[in-house]
Amino acid sequence: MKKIIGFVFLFGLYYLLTHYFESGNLSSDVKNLLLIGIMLIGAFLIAKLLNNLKLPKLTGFMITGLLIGPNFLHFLTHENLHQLHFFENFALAFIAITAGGELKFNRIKKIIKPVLFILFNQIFLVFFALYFLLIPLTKLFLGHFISNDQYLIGFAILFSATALSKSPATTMGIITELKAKGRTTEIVLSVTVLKAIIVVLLFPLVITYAKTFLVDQFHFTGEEVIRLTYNVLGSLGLGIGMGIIIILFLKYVQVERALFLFLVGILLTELSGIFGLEILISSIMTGIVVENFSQKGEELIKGIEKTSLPLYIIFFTFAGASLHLETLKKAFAMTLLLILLRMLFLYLSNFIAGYFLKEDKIIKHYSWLGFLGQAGIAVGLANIVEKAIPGEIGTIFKSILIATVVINEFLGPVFFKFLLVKAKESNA
Amino acid sequence: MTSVLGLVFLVVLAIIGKYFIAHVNIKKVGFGFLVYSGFYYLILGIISKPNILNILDLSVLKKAEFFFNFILGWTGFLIGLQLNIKGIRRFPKRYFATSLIHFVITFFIITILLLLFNKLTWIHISFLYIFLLSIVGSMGSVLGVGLLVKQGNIRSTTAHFLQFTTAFDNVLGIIFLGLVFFIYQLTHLNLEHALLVNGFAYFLVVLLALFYKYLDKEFKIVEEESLLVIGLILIVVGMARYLHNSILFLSFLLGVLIINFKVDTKKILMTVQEWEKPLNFILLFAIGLYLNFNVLGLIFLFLLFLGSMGVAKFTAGYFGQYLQANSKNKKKENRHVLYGMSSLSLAMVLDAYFTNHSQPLLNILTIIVLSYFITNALILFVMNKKDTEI
Repeated sequence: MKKIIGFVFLFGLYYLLTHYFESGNLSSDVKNLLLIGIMLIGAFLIAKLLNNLKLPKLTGFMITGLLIGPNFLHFLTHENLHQLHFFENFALAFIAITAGGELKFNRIKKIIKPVLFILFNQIFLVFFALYFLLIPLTKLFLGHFISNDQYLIGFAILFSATALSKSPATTMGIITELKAKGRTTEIVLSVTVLKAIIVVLLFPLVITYAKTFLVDQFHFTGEEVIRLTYNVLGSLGLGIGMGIIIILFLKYVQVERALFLFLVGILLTELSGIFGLEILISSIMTGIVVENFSQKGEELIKGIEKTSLPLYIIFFTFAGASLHLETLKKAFAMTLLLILLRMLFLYLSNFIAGYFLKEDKIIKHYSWLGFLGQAGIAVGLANIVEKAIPGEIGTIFKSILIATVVINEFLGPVFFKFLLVKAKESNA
Repeated sequence: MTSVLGLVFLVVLAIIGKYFIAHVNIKKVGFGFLVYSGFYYLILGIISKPNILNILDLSVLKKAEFFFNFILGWTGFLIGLQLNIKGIRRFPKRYFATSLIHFVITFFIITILLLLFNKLTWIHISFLYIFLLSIVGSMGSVLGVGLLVKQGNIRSTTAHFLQFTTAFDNVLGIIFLGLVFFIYQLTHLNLEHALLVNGFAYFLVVLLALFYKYLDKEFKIVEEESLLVIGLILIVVGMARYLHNSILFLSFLLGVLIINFKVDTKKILMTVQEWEKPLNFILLFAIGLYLNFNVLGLIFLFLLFLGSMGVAKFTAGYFGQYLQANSKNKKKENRHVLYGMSSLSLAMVLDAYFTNHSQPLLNILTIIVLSYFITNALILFVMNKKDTEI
């Protein structure tokens, strides 16, 4: 009850100030300070409340975002989300640094076989199985809308690629929340981080390929390859560069460490934006470099983890607020079917790997639960589909893509928490 | 290079610069104050201005203003947290009386002198700005005293008193600043409305402090407590801007209320203190960018202010009889220490500027920055040169 009263008080205060007191010439950033302050505490209270129901805090943050966002209460509007996008990326940069920092080469060596096997299966099995099943299924469910089979192929490619995506932020968030440690935790995190790198790097290629089916007179050119190469090398280079700077700083300077780290976060966010690079990849690489090539790296990564709570709240509350709930209504049956199929193939991927490597029951039967949460990149892809395919079918495809992510984003943390508790690796 | 990147680049440079400077023997150089005060960040801010190296333009300041606001909130909150009524009761009553007398006398003398100069000379500044100058001129330098203590030039009993009096000055300064904001509101609104808006702001801060107490147990570990504190500071900062009030004063009030509720705030105090220095350095860098050296009249006003402050502090020192318990024959040197200005004075002027965004406030900021560094550096230099034991 205390938490609900606290939540109502905070947002009541926000409503009062923003509606009854003239803000005059205040800049929007200053106004947003009030909102962020209220959001940080409010989301935490809701998360604690849901925690009593055994739900992870991340889910609580997302539900808060959903509640206060454009879907319901409108405290957090699309305009706010746009203005505060920098904070979202800034939070992502730090979360990804810690995720990369968990990839200690010495530790990965011990679990390299299951990691690579699961990774291979999750990429190839999930992608191709979904791809081949989607074409007839879509035809069956939505055939009366579609006259052009090319659209089906394009959509199948995009959806299958989206199904591969897994949010490292969710994984890292649950691990941090539960203070989880152990073999299963390491396998899930390693696969997630490596898959994130591969998927993010391959995405532009897949999108371009899918466009050749979706957009009339679109052809695959050398320019696309150059752009992709630039994106890959640039993102990796930026990450490695930042990692080296941090190592040098830790070795030779050391003063004002907190301030320096804060600046690293800004630098990663800004440079990725300016050069159109993948912030996720750059930040993960930074974490990997610092963790593996500096004696003080681990200490630094742990330091970031300790102060990461506000970053998780910002990131996941924004994620919740950005969810397009209205899309769930459209093509609900198809969406549900696709989610179940993705679950099935994830299970098979991990089961096959576990079976051949003679892994224990947890890896064979339960580890797939750690890979359910999806990354928000599907929204960008969905827009491509909608623009490429005019009319109702474009809108339906978009809705399906987004709706699967919405559901998986909510299920992901819950399932992963269940896995870690089941594996007895939760220390919270 | 974008403006934000420019800012990052320069602060990184400042951090590295600080590393090298930290390895210089402070005693030999005699300017330890410059090292500890973050003077180099200020210089970096100044040289990156559009009319010097042109690395950063004013749009950066506009974009980063929300962050500077937050730093002000942090600073005020920290000062408030140090005002634990139980803790300060252990100080002798005469400390309070002496410090209060010193502050009030200095304040009134500076005010009277500046009002007089305002009438007699061609420099015309508003009463509010005179009031602001008088407040910042009345506060002693915590950092200056701290450095002297660190260098071992002050006997422990004297150090105890000086540290108390400078910290108490900060508290009085913030309270007076709250008053300045109230007067500012009176100049814009009628009395009833001004009272209502101010009362509402204070009431909300009390509610937030009660909110902290009410929910304290829900935020169990240090990270969660820090989250609550960051959240509350952000709320107070945003609220202060909405209600055109002082960020420093409102966040100070929040800190005072929270520390005096029966809650364990030791860990919070540590966390807040840990970030104090880096955040202040960023603020100093920003102040460097805001400074305005183009106005000729500034020199005159600067000299008038410095002169008024000197006279006021000398007179207040004489009447207040500082350090009487410890100094029968070294009264003169003792008084020198309190001539240095408090670093909080910079934040106070910036607080006023963020509410009003007026050019005269930037001029005042320039004067205060110059006075702050000159008074502190000179006094410490003289003390070191004489190698005086107080």
